[in-house]
Amino acid sequence: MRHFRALIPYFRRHRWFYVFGVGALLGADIAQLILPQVLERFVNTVQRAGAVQSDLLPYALALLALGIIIFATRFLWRNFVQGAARLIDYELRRDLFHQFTLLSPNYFNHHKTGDLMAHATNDLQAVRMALSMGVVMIADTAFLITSTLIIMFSTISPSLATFALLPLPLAAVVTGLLGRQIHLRFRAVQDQFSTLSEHVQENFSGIRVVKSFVQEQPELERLMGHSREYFDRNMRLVRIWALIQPLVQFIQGLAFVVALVYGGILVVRGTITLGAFVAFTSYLGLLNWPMQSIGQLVNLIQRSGASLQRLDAIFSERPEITDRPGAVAPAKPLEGALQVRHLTFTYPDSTRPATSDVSIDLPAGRTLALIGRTGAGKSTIISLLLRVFDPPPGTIFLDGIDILDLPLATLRETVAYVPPDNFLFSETIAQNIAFADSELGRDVIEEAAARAAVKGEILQFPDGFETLLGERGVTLSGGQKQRVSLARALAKTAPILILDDSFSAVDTYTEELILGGLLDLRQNRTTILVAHRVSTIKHADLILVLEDGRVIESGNHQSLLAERGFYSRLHQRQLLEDRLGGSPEGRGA
Amino acid sequence: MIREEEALGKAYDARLMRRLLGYARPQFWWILLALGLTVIVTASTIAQPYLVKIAIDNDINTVSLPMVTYPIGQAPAGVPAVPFDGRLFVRVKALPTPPASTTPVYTILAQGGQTAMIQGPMPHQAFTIKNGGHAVQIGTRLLPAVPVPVAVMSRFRQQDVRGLELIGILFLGALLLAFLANYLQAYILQWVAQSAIFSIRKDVITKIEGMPAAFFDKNPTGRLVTRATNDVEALEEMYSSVMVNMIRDGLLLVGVVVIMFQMNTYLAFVSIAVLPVVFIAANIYRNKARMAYRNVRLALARINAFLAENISGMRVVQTFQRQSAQEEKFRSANGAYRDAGIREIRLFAIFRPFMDFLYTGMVAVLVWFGGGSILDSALTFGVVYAFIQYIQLLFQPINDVTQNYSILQSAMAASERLFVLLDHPAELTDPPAPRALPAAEGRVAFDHVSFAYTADNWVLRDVSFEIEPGQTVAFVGATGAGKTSIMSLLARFYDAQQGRILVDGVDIRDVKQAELRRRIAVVHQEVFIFAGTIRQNIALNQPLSDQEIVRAAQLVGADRFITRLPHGYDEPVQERGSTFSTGQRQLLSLARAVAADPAILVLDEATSNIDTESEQQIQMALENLAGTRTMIVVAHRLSTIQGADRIFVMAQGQIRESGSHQELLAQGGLYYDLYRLQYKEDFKLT
Ligand SMILES: Nc1ncnc2c1ncn2[C@@H]1O[C@H](COP(=O)(O)OP(=O)(O)O)[C@@H](O)[C@H]1O
Ligand SMILES: Nc1ncnc2c1ncn2[C@@H]1O[C@H](COP(=O)(O)OP(=O)(O)O)[C@@H](O)[C@H]1O
Ligand SMILES: [Mg+2]
Ligand SMILES: [Mg+2]
Repeated sequence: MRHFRALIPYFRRHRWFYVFGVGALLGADIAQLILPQVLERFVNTVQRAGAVQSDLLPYALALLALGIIIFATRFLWRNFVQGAARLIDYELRRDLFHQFTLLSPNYFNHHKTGDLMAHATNDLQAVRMALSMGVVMIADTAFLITSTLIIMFSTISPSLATFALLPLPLAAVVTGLLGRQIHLRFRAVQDQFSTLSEHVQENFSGIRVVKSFVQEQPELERLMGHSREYFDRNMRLVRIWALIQPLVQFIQGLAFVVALVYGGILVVRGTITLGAFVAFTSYLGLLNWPMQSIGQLVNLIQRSGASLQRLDAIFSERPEITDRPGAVAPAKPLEGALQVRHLTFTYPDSTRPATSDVSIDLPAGRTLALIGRTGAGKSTIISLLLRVFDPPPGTIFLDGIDILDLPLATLRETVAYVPPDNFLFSETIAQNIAFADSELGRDVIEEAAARAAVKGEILQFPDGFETLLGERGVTLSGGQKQRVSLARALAKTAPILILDDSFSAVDTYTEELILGGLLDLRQNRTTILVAHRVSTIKHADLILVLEDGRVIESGNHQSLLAERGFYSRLHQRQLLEDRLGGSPEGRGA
Repeated sequence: MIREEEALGKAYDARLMRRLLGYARPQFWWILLALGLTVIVTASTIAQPYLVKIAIDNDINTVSLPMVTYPIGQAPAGVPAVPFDGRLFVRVKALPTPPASTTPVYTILAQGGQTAMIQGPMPHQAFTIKNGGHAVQIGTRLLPAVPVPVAVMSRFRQQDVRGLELIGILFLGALLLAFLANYLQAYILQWVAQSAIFSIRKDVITKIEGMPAAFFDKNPTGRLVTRATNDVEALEEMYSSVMVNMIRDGLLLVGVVVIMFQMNTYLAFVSIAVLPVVFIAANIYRNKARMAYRNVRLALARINAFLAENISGMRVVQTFQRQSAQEEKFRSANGAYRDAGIREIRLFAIFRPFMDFLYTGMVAVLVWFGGGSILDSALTFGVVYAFIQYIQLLFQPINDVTQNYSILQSAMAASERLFVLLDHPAELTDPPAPRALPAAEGRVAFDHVSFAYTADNWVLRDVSFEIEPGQTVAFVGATGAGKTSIMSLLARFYDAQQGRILVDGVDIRDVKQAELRRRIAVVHQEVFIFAGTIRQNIALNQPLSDQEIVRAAQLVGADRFITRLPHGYDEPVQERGSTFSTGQRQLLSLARAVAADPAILVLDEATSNIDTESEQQIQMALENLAGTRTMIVVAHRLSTIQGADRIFVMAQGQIRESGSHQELLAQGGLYYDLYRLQYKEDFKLT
């Protein structure tokens, strides 16, 4: 229940919709309550000896007028209440996405994309139902039940009302008792559906591996096992769920039988008129919907409460990485001098540090290279510098300022970054390259593409730079993706350029071409290169060799070679291993 | 391509319906039983207002029915007779044969708690009971009357009370029957529905799993998952409610109309006069609802696509500081969804209340015409009451129609997509009479193979080569040269348009795909890690011992990082292995391939994200592994490949050079250039 409090500000913003909507709803209810009164008078009139047809005209006209009022008021409440629910749904989804943009990448590592999407669609839909049908049901049931009871007891016959209504609380008890069970079984069904979806998703994403290793049959059996369990849980739910509707109808029927027999006897005895009998059965009919909807209402509130709880968990998630209080952008633009002091960092859910005591001093405009085994901590350093994870205070400085004291926006504007996974959006190639700034001119985009050695290939597509990527467009090869991602970073004018393993899908020739093209860019930019090939990084001003998170060697190409350590061994191995077999010396330039 | 989210589906399509019903065929007898139960429920529903009519006309509203008299002890047997005033009174209606028209009738008049009996029928004009029930004034005439005391009145009404009790019992019986039939029917239908969607889901998943790689290139995974999950789910209500509801509604409609005509032709005609209006309104609504529904779905699909992409790419959005730009884009998708929803609400807000209006209007019409007929004594009140109830029943199927309609619509849209998928030609099939591969040797041959992913975009041109068993060969060349394509053809992920591919002397199109792939293990450029544990990722459902798993991991050097994990080989792996570095993921997929123990091992840039030293280590390990098996390696780093028995140099889809490392260097061609580029420094040094 307490989760519904989160909705109050939204509710308040649209309160007039609700005021008018509920007002119209009650108007429709009142019209419905008047209707049996008209019928009662009509019946008593036709019963009266000596009545003529023109005596009936007022009743026919009154009914017609009530019909028009019911039409108008129902039209209004549907528009007001359901419309307001749609507006709130929109705002919640907007705010949810905003919250996503605030959460750190680590959050997304630990939450499945599918689940987060479900929050933005299914959970919001449940909340929307509560905000429209839930509100309507509460207002409607409360008003209709109380006023019908008052009318039945006070204007028709207290004894008839007592006997006829006797079975109805049973309906509430039954739905209440079964409701809890149904809720649990329903949850079990839903959980199994997500499990099934996850496994299907995984199976299809990994289909090449599944096929390569001839796993179709075992995988299919596994999936069908989940499907069978889903079937069973559905049947377990139905066993009690299918009971509710017939049972409630039966109980309502019971009330009607009492009204018919006992009410009939009262008419026979002359205690009530035939008109009152007809009115009573009509009022009983009015109670049908509210009685049935109590069960639904409980269910709806439970479901939307659970949905709100999940949404609330996201909304109350404090972004791990935020601007420090008092963080202000420095007066003059950053130049890109990087200092790292004794950086030791351990991932939140890990026990071993990913980097230990790393120190770097890189003047602005210089090139730093990181090299080392897989898992040595190269990308970790980059992530910390970008504040994908926050480094410990006092460890990383830009132009002498602790990056924790910089506003995130300033920090990220200072850096152009090529991520190792080359994520591109389903937009045109031009839009992807101009991602940092959608105002970028075509010449800048093309130049960036040319520098990334991908312009030629882009121009070969029928739509050139306007080629749409992703689901609705073409799929690029891994190398093409990597180079478009590179162009995206190059199109951004920032004092620091970071390439994390950005040549892994590019052949040596193209790499050489790109690096050559970058030379003049690198002149006035601080550049950080992560690579595996010595040839990629040999021009760097500072090369750090990492092993298990530690810097084991540092220097430039020449000095590292002279050190005869890991780097030089690596170099030797990359260069000379063949000498045992081949003899390329003879063919020297 | 299978992208019909946007297509405007029909609400009903006989062809689709037939196929959908086909899935329910195994449950035919159950469906028939459910239908039988439906008939019971409908009969009970229709019987209820009629029982009330009988109660009103025969028992409740009977005080002033005309009676005839018999001397005491001479009333006909089996007919309720009440002694009063020295005679026996019997209702005319109760007599088996009507009395002669000259027989005098008596009528009890009731007014304001007074009751009096007069001779003659019920007067048409207003009357007043006078003199304590000893006279009745009708107009200006004053008729003699006999007052009927309360105790005697209840004797007169004894038969009515008994009649009411009987009706009550019948009514109860009808309710009980309906209750049982309803429950059983719902349970059976759910069982039918779940069985049907279980088998559809099975067909869909089997179909998708059997599709070739080209299919997955064209259809994003998310869409295929929707097919197997939500689209199949959209059929559930079709089976569990619509299928039988439509029949029930039809029965109800016919039943109500028949009973109306049976009761009173005149009022029946008046009542059904509204039906054309209802049908026209429902039809207009249907057309508009279709568009509105489609727009809502479309807008929702866009939101989903946007979210999927931006959640996975949030890191890029944030590092490029584009949060507000993406929020702006989301706002327009979100707004379109809101607006489509509001249009749908508006439509529904007109239609449903309009139906309610028609119902109330019909009641007004019945009050006017039916009431008039009662005053003319052409009708009893019970009939008018029953008509008002039946009108309500008449509207029920029509209101249901709108709900059934939207269920049907989404079911049709979903089944259309599903059947397009199921009917998709299997492009790449096993031969009808597959040949068995001979004993594993590991011989591979490409014979004048040409291949294009899309028409005329030749990616491989006339490629021919042979690999001897146990050889290690390497493919080198620029990105896009076609190396990966060769590996995909070898594992028969695609079929080449021209030429033949032979494995151990047999055309791969003549053997079962499964048999072919058991012989070849491909480690792809793009790694895929399953959620589960490290152990499961290496073993992949094979019954491997711990030793074998550890050995495979050790061989590729994955053991080093695995043993450092808190749970070692049982360390849980997140979706896509997101907490492992790219290189570590590659090591895992290498270990998986080694554990599969194939005759032909293909490594397609399987070590590109792994540092050179580890790569060397893997290289050495794999060399030990080689000898008994054929190895095909694709790599950019020449150091990785120079130990190969043969090297194929590819450019623009063709094999340009081939030979050993030394032979190729000696040729001074492409390979030499590539080599020189990578080792330029070295040339300077020496
Ligand atoms: N998000 C993460 N959560 C926990 N551990 C991680 C995460 N990312 C990387 N690691 C671990 O940190 C270590 C360093 O990884 P990384 O910096 O990616 O290496 P490199 O880029 O040098 O290959 C590895 O052992 C890796 O498993
Ligand atoms: N699934 C695919 N659909 C269409 N074109 C593709 C597909 N995969 C690769 N291509 C194209 O085929 C050519 C060869 O690609 P590929 O075999 O992956 O080269 P390599 O592995 O040598 O880098 C490239 O131009 C690439 O864009
Ligand atoms: Mg890395
Ligand atoms: Mg490739």
